[in-house]
Amino acid sequence: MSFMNRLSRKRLLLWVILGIFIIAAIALIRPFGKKGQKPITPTQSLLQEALSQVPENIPSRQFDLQQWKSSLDVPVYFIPTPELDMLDIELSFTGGSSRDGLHAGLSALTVELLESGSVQKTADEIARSIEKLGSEYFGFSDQDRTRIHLKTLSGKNYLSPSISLLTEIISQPAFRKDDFDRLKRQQLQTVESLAKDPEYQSQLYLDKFLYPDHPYASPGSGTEESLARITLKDVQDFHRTYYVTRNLSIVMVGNITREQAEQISEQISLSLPVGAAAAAIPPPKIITSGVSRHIPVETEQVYISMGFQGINRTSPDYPALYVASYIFGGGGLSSILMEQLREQQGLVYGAFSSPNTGSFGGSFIISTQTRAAEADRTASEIKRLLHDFLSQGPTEQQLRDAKKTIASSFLEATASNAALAQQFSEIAFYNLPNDELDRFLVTIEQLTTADIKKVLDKVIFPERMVMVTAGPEQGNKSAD
Amino acid sequence: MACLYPSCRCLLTGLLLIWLCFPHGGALASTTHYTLPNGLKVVIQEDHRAPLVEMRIIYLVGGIDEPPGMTGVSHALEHMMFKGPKGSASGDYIKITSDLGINGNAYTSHDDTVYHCSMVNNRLPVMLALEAERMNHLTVQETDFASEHQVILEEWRLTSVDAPDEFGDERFMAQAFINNPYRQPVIGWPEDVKSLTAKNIQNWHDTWYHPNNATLVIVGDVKTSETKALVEKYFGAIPSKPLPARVKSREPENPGERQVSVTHPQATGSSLNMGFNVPSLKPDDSDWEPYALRMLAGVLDEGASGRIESELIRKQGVALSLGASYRPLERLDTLFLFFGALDQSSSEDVTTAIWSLINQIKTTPPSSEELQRVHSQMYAGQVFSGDYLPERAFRLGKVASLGFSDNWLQTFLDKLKAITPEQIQQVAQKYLVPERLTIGYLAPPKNDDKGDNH
Repeated sequence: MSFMNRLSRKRLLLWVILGIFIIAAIALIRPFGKKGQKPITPTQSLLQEALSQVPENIPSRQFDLQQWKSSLDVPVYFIPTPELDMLDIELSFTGGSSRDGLHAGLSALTVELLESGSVQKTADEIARSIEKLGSEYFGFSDQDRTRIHLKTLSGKNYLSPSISLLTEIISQPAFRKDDFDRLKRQQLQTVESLAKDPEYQSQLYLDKFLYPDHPYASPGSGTEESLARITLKDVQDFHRTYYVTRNLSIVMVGNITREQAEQISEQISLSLPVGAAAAAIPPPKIITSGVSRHIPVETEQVYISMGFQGINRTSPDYPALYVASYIFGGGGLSSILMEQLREQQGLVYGAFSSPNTGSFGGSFIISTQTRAAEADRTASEIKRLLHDFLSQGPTEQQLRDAKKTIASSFLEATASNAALAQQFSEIAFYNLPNDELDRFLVTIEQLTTADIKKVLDKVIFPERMVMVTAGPEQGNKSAD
Repeated sequence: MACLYPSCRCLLTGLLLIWLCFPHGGALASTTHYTLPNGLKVVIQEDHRAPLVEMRIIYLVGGIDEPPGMTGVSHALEHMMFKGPKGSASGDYIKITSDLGINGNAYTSHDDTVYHCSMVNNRLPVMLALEAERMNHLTVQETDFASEHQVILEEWRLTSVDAPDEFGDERFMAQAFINNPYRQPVIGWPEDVKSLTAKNIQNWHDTWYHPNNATLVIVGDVKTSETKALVEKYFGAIPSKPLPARVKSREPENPGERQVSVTHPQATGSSLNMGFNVPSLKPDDSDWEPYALRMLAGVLDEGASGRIESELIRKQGVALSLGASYRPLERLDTLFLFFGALDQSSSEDVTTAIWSLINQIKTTPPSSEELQRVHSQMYAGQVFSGDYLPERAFRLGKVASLGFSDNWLQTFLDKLKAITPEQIQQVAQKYLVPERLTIGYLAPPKNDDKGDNH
């Protein structure tokens, strides 16, 4: 036996002993339970136990969606919910601010004026009639549509009179001169009061540059100049043109029967002229370069907004963009923007992104606010985070978490009558399939990180970003 | 557009009258109220429409409990409840809830600090465990606070410094309350916000966050008996601790007529607060006056058929917007408030118009038709509020945390219905008087051509 053999056996033993010692040491330093060297408290151990037992599944709510067309071809969606003695009914008319033309503010003024008096009743009488029943009426217009929402008790003393009032309001508005003058003046004053509002003014600029020469850039409340030009006849024309059955869909969620729902949809449809469906609007032209604007306001913070042209609601890319936006800046405290800008760097209180979608176009907007001294740095940070997100896409963990939270939020979106009504109002308006909610979730569930990155590449062009800041004059920022 | 900000504070200028219309429950709700031996109040209400649960824990500590020099500490503590070392409940809260698809948030008011979340029902054990651990242990680290302090300052700038209406409200509140800590802003006075310390925040947690100062509300697709067992499992062993003495201030009976005027560079039009010092409703529920005050607010401003909308806005066009509000469920004496945005009218015209409405009610009691409309809206509002879990959890929690009886939500409407027109007249005569009045004006800077003249 050579000297070498004897030596290597000894060394082998040494290594084995050392190895055992090292393994034992590692076992002592890293307990097989969770992190932390501190002794675990009773409530902490209960938390860990609870975490280990959470089931993966996110259930959905079952509901009975019924859909048909009224005698005038109006799409009707109905979900019976017998648990509460109430009904939510929402009417959607194609006809929002994108139809205002040269009269920006017209659709908003028209919907306001509707409830200010019918042919049979003054504004006071309308208000008293609605409130005597305890019903709640609400009319609102956005860029695409006008929505009229009524909440009423479903008992027989309330339901029928409420629906009659609703029908009267939408089909026989009086459009009286004194109400018109008053509401026009109020709308004008509202616009004037927003003259220094950094968020509102930023949004106007964003829309102007993201939808160049396009109806989506038309300010919903109008401008001083456009409102001055609106006449009572313009309101009457708008109503006659857009509040018609060809533009209408009806959604009902509540404690009524199918027969009652059919009768209500007939009553409403038959009260309106048939009219003509509003024409499609071409999409905005693609912008090819970015632009920056600064709006001087006397604030301590600078308001930062970054906008990109986006997609419309029915685009097949919408689910992926929705998830991407959620991960980047839509998910409360755990989004990329909040995690970095707020949690890590203490730069902001809130920072968000959202994909806005309409019938004919959309946008992707990032917005936040920070102390003036940190505005440049915050803007750079956002650009850096966006650049990284675009080039790498989301991580697997981010995508997994997003899918779960979105599934939970969809559950919430079907948990109440009001939320169901809102969901189906959108489904009806955009002519989406009846099982859109389930489909959307299934689509999202199947998305991979590569899918998301692909859609981001397709939709978001950093060099075409519109950036608007509002705050102290640049170069003259107030100290912290 | 963009999502709402993480909601962080309740301000007095919340305009909702209808929030007082509490859910009776009806077909849905079986509600259970009980208290653990360690003092934790628990309310469980079942709702099986969807497999969701709304949970909230209310700590009865807020702006009014803060001594001079430490205003804003409750709100700062709320922030720090989401931060901490890895492995701690507060440090892991965001990650845990994000992993599980849970939507959680919190807010601080004068009266309380509330942590709430909405989740799929199979997540409830985790959230109960998380809240129990946050209650029992919080480590406010200097490094965490250094960063979060900046976040709080940004929130302060966004919601107070740069916000003209909030600034005007702050100055108004400081005048409208003489001996009552509602006068101090929830976010804190500027010097106090800037000088918050991790140590003070830690102490605040260790002083106030105990089961005997908390109310736990669980509304949704749960089984009461199983839920009770879960609550016992996670909260049962947390010990109660003695609490400091409570602030018990009452406003003096004759505060005197006050006025404050401020300008703000961001104000575009003028606005106005007119507040009268009035009592709130106490948990022993022995006083009829708060119910009459609530009905008075209803006659004035319950919906578009109220007197303010019909007389002052539609008929006289005296203001751009105007409202009246009275919130009886406050821990201390409160305000009967008129508020509004002025247009071309001078502030004098508006206050004159408001006084004429007040005097009208003092001389002639309101009609039964008006009262019926107020009742109708309240009753319907009660039914409608049953649709939304967070709203039900809010109301159940508010009532329980203040110490009202378990069946108070069932009897509230009847008490309002029992108020007569004459009683409404009486409280107007007693409380809506110049000696109890504070007027706060907000206007653009004087060299601005849109300035108001008053």
